[in-house]
Amino acid sequence: MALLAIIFAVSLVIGAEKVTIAEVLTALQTQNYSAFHLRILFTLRLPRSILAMLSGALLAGAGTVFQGFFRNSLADPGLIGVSSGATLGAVLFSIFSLFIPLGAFLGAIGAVMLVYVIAGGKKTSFEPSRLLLAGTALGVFFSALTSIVILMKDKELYKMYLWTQGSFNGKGWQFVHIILIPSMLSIIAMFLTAKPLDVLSSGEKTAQSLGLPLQKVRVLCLISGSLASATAVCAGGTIGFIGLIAPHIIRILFGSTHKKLLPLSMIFGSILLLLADILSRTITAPMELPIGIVTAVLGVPFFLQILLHGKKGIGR
Amino acid sequence: MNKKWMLITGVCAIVLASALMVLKCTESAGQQNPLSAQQNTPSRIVSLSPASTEILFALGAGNLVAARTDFCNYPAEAQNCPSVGGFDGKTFSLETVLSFAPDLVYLNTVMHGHLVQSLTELGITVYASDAQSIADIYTEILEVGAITGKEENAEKLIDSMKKRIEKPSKTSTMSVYWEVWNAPYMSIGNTSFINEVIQASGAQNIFNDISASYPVVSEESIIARNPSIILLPSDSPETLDTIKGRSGWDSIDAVKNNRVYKINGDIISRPGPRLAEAVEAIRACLSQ
Amino acid sequence: MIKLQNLSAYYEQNPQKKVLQDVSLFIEKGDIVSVLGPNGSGKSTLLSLIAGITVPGLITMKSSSIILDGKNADSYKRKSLSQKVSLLAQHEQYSWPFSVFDAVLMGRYAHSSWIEPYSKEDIDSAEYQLEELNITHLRNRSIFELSGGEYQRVMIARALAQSTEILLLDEPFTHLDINSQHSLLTLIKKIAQQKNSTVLMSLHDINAAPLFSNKTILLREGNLVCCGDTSLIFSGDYLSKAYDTEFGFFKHPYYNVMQSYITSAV
Repeated sequence: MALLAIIFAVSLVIGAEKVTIAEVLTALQTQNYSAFHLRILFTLRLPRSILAMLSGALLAGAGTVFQGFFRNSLADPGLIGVSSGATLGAVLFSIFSLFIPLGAFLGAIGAVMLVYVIAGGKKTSFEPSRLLLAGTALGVFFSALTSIVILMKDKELYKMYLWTQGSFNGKGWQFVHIILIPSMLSIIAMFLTAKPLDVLSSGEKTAQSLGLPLQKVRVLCLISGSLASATAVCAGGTIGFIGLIAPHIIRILFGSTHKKLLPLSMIFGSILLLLADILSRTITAPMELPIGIVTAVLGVPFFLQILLHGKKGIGR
Repeated sequence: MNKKWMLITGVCAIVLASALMVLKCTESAGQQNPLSAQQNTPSRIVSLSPASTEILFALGAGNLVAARTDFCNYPAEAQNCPSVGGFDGKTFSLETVLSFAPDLVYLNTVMHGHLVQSLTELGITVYASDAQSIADIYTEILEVGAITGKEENAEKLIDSMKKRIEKPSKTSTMSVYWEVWNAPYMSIGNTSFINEVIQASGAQNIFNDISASYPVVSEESIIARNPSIILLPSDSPETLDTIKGRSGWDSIDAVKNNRVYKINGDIISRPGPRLAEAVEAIRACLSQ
Repeated sequence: MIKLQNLSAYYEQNPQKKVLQDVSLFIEKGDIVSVLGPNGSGKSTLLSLIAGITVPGLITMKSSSIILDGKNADSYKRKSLSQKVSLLAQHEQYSWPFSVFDAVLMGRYAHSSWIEPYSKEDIDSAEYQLEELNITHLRNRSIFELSGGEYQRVMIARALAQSTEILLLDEPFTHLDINSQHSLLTLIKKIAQQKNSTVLMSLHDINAAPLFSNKTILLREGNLVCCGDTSLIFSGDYLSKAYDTEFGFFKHPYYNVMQSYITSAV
């Protein structure tokens, strides 16, 4: 947790332009915020860092919940069509010059609802295997639709390509206000799944026998995970990988009990994304790298390292 | 032991085959302009880029154009020719191009490079434009002039362009921020065509130090580099008011002095004859 | 305690084949019951249905009724049902490596709330079960690192931690060595008698039935062949009907109960 605070502070201080800690402290003391550099700090870096932090937590949390739901450590929110739906929504909104992140959010939620409708409907609906199939199929379908739309409007091509790489560039307080409520809601909902997820992992019959209301828990997992993913996508575009590796790494380092796993994953996700954001805007300053690339490059070696030397082993 | 050798041989074979394929591809990409084969002036030219269409019409060779793309909107006469489809090489088929029975296809290396080999194999002459600078455009105009038998027009066109572009600039160097897109913030670097146009007009791109064409840039850098002018392409939805609304941007000179202008996107991004117009448009903004 | 009337069920894909057909029986509180029958006779399904488990694709016919402790099974909410019946299912494995203690603690889920962490009472109960099953020394080990016998002990400890009046065990000892089987069966019998629990366990080794259970349920292809005192079943032709083989009987030289052996030629 302390690590998160440190990284957050670093994120505020480092950037394409220089702001020193001394300046920050002086300003805090004298309450004089008009200096140019400090304005950069507060109007640009602070909201951006908050966004990165929240998105990281949401992505990692969603990853943990979905891995618990599918009982598979290779699960990722994208499995049920969240990312493809988000991209399609973003593209459609972009063409009509509407607010793209809203399109992404609606696209993500819409995709997930469609998957539920297709895979669900009966008493034993929301079964992981059915959802997986429906989600994968729909995901492919949405990607195809997206490609068609982009081909017809090839001017949008490059913009969309960038969007799918993910970025917090240019996102300020307005965005923070937009995602604050859905973030809080989804985080609370995800925390409610912690205890049930432990029990769920014991087996379908066993979980029921132990007293788990299977349907309710599954629905809760799906709703909380989807809301979290959609909100994260709205904030930063499609940023892959964090939802997959954050829970994985924490599981290896700290064990599988979701009471610890969930919050630690979220914190780790925040740290990871904040670091990625810092790097994306400093390595090639004043140019910025798409954050999705940075997370992959950061995450993979770290992940492999843990995998090879981890002590607690991964799931089956 | 045997199995191991088979595996190694197999892998080597695959690697060799791939290497050969790669070599073959790159070598055929080198065969760009087999102009020497061209004896007569072409009478049915298919133009696959808006810039090419403009060049052809500016040279007075508009009557030779058999087909153009949907985006070839200038000059107005170009609309009378039938279209092959969009500009992006992936949205029209080779067959559509062939259906116009061209004897010359005028295309762009970056967008349509993959068509070159197929076309030349079918015996169709290809002129591939790869203009990276204004000087390249002059060369291209000369070459196309030679192909279409409009050498005189070509020289006249180049002269008039040079006169307009190479005017000595009176104003001191002002800094310009060209905004391609605002989510994320994208501008132009020193390998972009537009950068050269801006420089030719006497201004300096604030991101001239980035060696990329269309880099995503940090918002803080835009603010820190304090451009005196902000230029937007005409199809950008942003306006002076929306830019003023961006938090932190009010400290920028360009915003303080209301110096936000839109430039016709077509004239500045097409490596064609209207570049002079673009340079003049920018100069007009600078001197206001 | 457990009353089944005309329990019939089938899988959606195959309505003709009844997994269970008109099973009616009555089990009293405190009975220790062996559920026997050849493969596919419906033992697992029977236990699952009594525990109120929703099996994907399995449909119970409306004429069926399951009454637990005087109340219709359908009228129980999941949580309260789990406070009454616990099922140790077959072929189910954890997807993540939890510690032995955490796994046993999960047995208390039915007694704890959604939001609050497990109470001291829950923790004490789990510790107690670890002791009962002699696995306290394993409490911090990962469940993936245990031997078959140790793993089953953990599962049983968890089922016991659930503190239910009815304990259902689906082939819990099938893959264990004979020593473990015997000691665990003895342990279960002892604990059940102490708490006056009602136990139903499906067994492969039919000769364990007379040693450890007072009642036996015999199934064959979804039909109830017989439900009654074990000694009764280990004398007539019930076993022969159920397993479609000839059986003979003899008295166990050490434990003084009836045992069976197969007489048809190999």
